[in-house]
Amino acid sequence: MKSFLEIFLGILTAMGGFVEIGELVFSVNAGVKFRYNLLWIEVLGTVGIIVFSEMSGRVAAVTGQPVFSLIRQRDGYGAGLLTLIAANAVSLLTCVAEIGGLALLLKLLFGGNYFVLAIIALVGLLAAVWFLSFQAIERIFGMLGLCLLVFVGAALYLGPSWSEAANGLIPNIPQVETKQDYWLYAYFAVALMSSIMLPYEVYFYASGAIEDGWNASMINANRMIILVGFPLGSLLAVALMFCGASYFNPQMVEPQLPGTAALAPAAAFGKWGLSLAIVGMFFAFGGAAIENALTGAYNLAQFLGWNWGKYRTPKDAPRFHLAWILMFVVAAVTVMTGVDPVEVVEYSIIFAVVILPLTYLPVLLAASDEDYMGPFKNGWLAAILGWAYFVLICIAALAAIPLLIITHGGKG
Amino acid sequence: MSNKSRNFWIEAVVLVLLVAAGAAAFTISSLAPLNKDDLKIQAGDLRAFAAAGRLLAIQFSRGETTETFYRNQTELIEDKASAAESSLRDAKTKPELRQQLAEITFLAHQLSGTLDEMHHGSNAAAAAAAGELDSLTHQLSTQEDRLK
Repeated sequence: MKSFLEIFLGILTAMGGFVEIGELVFSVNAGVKFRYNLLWIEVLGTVGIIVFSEMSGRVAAVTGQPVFSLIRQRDGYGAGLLTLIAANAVSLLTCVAEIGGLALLLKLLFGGNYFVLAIIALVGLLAAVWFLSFQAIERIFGMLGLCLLVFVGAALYLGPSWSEAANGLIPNIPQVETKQDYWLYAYFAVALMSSIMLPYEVYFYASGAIEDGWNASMINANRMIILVGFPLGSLLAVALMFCGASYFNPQMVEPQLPGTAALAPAAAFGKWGLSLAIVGMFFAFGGAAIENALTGAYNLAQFLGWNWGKYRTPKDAPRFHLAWILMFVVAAVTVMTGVDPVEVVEYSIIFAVVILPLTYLPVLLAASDEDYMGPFKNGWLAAILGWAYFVLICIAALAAIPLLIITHGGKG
Repeated sequence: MSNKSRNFWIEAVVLVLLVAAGAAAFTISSLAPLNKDDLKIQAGDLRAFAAAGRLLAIQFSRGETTETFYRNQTELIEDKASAAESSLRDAKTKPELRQQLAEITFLAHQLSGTLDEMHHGSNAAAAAAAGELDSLTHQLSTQEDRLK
């Protein structure tokens, strides 16, 4: 009964923690610009994150090795260090975007100065990580992030075109007005896939498995949590795309602020819908900010061989605890410079694609290694999917920066 | 120097060069005069702000949002529209695009003004603002289409 409850809570947490500011922005705007045509990318990306999260969780459970230990072992020190720098830069940018997003949401709820609200958000995040256990953080932010389910209700209420949505599940290239729009479609395809397969999710998931004391007996629970929780989480992203296609597209609105996206649930359910959307976004962004700050500290500690873990006291792992505090502080200081959080997230997501191959190759190699994993090594399905996705993310990594330039940062 | 160490330094130098090239490209592009694509993007952004403001005004009039949300969301959109307006005012462009730059800048000014009225005006002003923002949305959309 206890393990069933653990799995159930794990599924809800995985679901509630699936969407963050990047996915919100890209999913809604993909719906606005290309209606349901990019739905197949949501499916492709969700299968991809399932494949690699399952592998990283399995490797962590069997060997007790988190992703950055594998990166150092398998990529070597030089490439590993570059991956570390790039991964932590992306996590920092994502943390900037989430803290900026939190300040925007606080402003919508209570009003006040944006910069003061960013400091309040910083203090709240520091207090949450300092005082709450790892499991409590996961559960509180994951569960309250489920308020975002109001977008699923709104998507259904606002009447999506089911036939168009069904066609969008098949990989397609839509009829568009100009050649530039084809590049924009490719840019959104790459960005949407990256927003689902963000590398920090895998780093955090594997480190979290070790924080939770997983061993080989948790392999089936790992599969269940991922196979059920992630597709349900992806439903939220699909709902955001539906809201973009059926509600914002006809009104020529391209939501560039979280508050604009919240107008879809408000149209469906009035003030209650609006409030649920904002509360859901608040905990989803807050959870993602914490995950990114901890991920930065995990990566650094694992690569450099420091003591790490939220379960360790600051006295036992001082450098680890200092690292996540610094991640938050540097991110908040960056927000204070006045950068637009939504623009930051767009860049962080595109740069994240570039490091995806360096992140996923060591996981794939370790999970396929019989000497390392014994009877828990990749089966034929995981091996085929793993290599197919590796080729796909390599192509996406090569295309990401040129597409960013050609499309003027996704503006067209 | 060992091969491993040499490879690391080569990779590090390549990374630094890439970052420097990106920063240089960004600086050059931000100093260059606006071309047709840049102007189209600015018009598209302003159209999106106008449409978002219009939707917000309509939903507030219908009682679907709280007043705190309405006022603060308006302020956030207004900040973006004002920033776009001031960047257009400072912008230079080719002679053949000057007329359109002037028209878009004028529309941006009107948009900032309407959003300011929404932000500071009475609750009843929302319905009137929705009409003005609807007109601005369509005018900016026309400008955007002309630049395609």
